[in-house]
Amino acid sequence: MVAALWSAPDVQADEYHYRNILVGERASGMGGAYTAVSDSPAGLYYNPAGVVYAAGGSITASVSTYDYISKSYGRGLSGLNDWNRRSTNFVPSFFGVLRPVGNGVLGISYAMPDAVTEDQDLEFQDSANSIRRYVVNFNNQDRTFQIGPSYARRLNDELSVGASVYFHYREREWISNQLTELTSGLYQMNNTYFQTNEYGYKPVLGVMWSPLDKWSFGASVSKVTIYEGKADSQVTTRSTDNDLTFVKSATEDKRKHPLNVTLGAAYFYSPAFMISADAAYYEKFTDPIYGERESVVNLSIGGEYYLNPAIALRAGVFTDYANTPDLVAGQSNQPEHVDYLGLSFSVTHFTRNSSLSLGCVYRDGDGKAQIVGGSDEIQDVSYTGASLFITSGYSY
Amino acid sequence: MKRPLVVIATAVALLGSVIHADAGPSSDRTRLSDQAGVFADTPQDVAAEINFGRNVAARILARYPLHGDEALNHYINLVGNTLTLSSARPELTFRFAVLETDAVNAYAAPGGYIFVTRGALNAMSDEAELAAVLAHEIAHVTEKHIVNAMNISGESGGTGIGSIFSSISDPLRAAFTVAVDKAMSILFQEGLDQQDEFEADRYALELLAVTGYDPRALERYLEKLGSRHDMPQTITDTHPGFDTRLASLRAATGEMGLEKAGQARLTERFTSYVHK
Repeated sequence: MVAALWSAPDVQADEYHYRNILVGERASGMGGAYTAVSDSPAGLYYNPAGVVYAAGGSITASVSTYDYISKSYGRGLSGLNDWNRRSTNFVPSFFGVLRPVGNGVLGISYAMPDAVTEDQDLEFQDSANSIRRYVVNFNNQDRTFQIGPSYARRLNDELSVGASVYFHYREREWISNQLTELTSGLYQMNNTYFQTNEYGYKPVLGVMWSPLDKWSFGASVSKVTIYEGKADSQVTTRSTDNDLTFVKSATEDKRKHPLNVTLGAAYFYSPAFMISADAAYYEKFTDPIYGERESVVNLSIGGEYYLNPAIALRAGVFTDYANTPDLVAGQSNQPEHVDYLGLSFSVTHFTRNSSLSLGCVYRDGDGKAQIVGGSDEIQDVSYTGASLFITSGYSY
Repeated sequence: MKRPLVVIATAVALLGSVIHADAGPSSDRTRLSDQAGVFADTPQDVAAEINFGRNVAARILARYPLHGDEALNHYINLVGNTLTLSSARPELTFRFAVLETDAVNAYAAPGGYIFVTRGALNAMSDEAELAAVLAHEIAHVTEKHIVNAMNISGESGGTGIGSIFSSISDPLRAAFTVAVDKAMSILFQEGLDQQDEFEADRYALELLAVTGYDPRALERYLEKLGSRHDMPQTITDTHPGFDTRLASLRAATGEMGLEKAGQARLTERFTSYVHK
C-alpha cells in the first residue's frame, strides 16, 4: 500500500521547462518570438537592447494572466486509476516602464515567469487493491518573481546594446495529506510539508543589430544565479502497523540554472506586418537538488498584422521542451519528460496613447513520468495548458 | 541539442557576411499604431499646437522684425488664405507675414503661423512663385512636420505641450521654453527631415494646381535661387540641395501631368505690391 503514496515534491513539473509563462504584451501573442523585436517594455525581459526602438516618450505596460494547467497521469494511482492534476492562477505576470534619458533608455520591469497554484482534493476506491478509500488533499504554491532595472543605448543607426539586472526570488510551499484506508480496516496516513525560498540575480545582456532596411537581428544572454536557498520539509507518517514517524529536514543547497542564449531574427515587411523567430538555447547542467538536466533548444515563430491602425492581430507557435532525459524502463524516481508545443494568439486595440490586448496561449504535450516514489512503473502523461492574458500599454 | 544552435548561429553569421551595413532600421519598423497621424487630432491637440506655434512665431518675430508695409502683409495674407481654402486642415486659421530681413527663406510655425522674408520676396518674379513658397510652408503645417518631429499633443500623450503651456510651475515652463528652443533650432539650424521637405514640395505642387496658379512656379523659383552665386547658406542649411529638390519636383510634375499646364502667374499684381 505504501506504493500508493506518490512522491509529492518530485512531481513538480515546472522545473523541467523554461517557458512556463510567456511574458509581455506583444511577445505573448507572438509565441515569445521577441528577441529581435523587443521594442516595448517587455523587451527589458527578452532583449533590453531593443527598447531603444520603442515609440513614444515613456511607456508602461502591464500584463495579467489567467493560467490553467491540466495534467493527466495514466493509471497514476495504485496502477489502476488515472490521476489528474490541475492548476489555476491569476497572476500579474509582467509590468514594465521605459523612459528615454539622454541617448539611452532607462527601464524597470517586473516579471513572473513561473507560477503554479494547485488546490486539489481527491477521493476514490480501489477494491481490487484492497483499498476502501484513498484520499489526497494537497495545496501547492510555487511562484518566481523577477524585478530589476535596465539600461539600453543606441551605438549607431544599426546597433544597440542593453542590459537588465533582475533580482530573482522564488517561494514554494507544498502541503499534502493522504489517507489510505484498507478493506481490512487498517489505515495509513501521511502529512507532508515542504517549503523553499531562494534568492538570486539574473543579468540579461542584449544586442540588437539592424543592418538591413527591413531586418533586425537580436541576441541575448542570461543566467539566474542563486546566492541563497533554503528548503525545509516535515513528513509525518502513521503506518498500518500504527507506527508514527516524524522526519524533519532542511537544506541550503542552491538550485542551479542554465546559461540561456537566445538568437532572433525579425522581418518588418511593412508597418502593418512583421514576422519574428527565436531560437533559445539552454545549457546542460547538474542541479544539486534535481540532478542532471539536458540542454534544450526551444524555437518560436510569431507574426503581427494590423487590420487597421487601431487593431492588430498576433499569432505564434513555439516549443517548450523538457530538460530531462527520456525515461528508462527498470529504473525508479526518474523525473518526468514531457515536450510541449504551444500556440498563441492575441488581438490588440489601440488608441493614440494606449493599447489593450486580449490573448491566449495554448500548449499541449504527451510524455512519460514516474509519480509513485520507489516504483519503477512508468505512467503516460498528457498535458494541456491554456493561458488567457489581458494587457494594457500606455505611452506618455 | 547543441546542433540546432550551431546551425542558427552559422546562418546568422553567413547572412551578416553578405549584407552591406549601410542601412539602419526603416520606417517599417515603426508599427502602424505608432505612425504619426494615424489617429485623429483631439480639440486639445489643435489647441496645444496653436499655443505652441504662437510662441514659436513670437520668437521668430523677435529674431526678425515684421515688415512695416501693411498693404504688403495684407496682400500676402490674401494669397496665402486663397491657398489654405484648399488645404487639409480647415480647423486652423492661417496667418501670413513678411519678415524684414535680406535672408532668403520662409518659415512655418505649428498652428498656421507662416512667414516669408523680404529677401525671398525680392527673389520672386510673380504671384505664382509667392504662392508656391507659401504652399510649401502651408504643407509643413498641414502635414504637421514639426508637430510630429517634436511629438506635440494636447493630452498627456507626446510631450504634453498643452498641459505644460497651461501650467504655472517653473519646471514645466522651463520645459516649454526648451521645446520652443528646439523648434527654433529646427527652423533656423537643423532643418526638418529631408523627406518632409520633399513632401512639402510635392504638396505645394498639388496646391498650386488646384488653386489655379502655375504649378511650375516652385520649380522656377528654386532654379533661380540655385543659379545665384550670392545665395546665403540659410536656405541650403535647412533644406535639401537645389538639384535634389528640383529633380524630385520635376519627377512629381511629370507624374501629375502638369508639365504643360499654363496657369496664372499674375506678375503685374505681384509687382505692384512687392517691387513697387
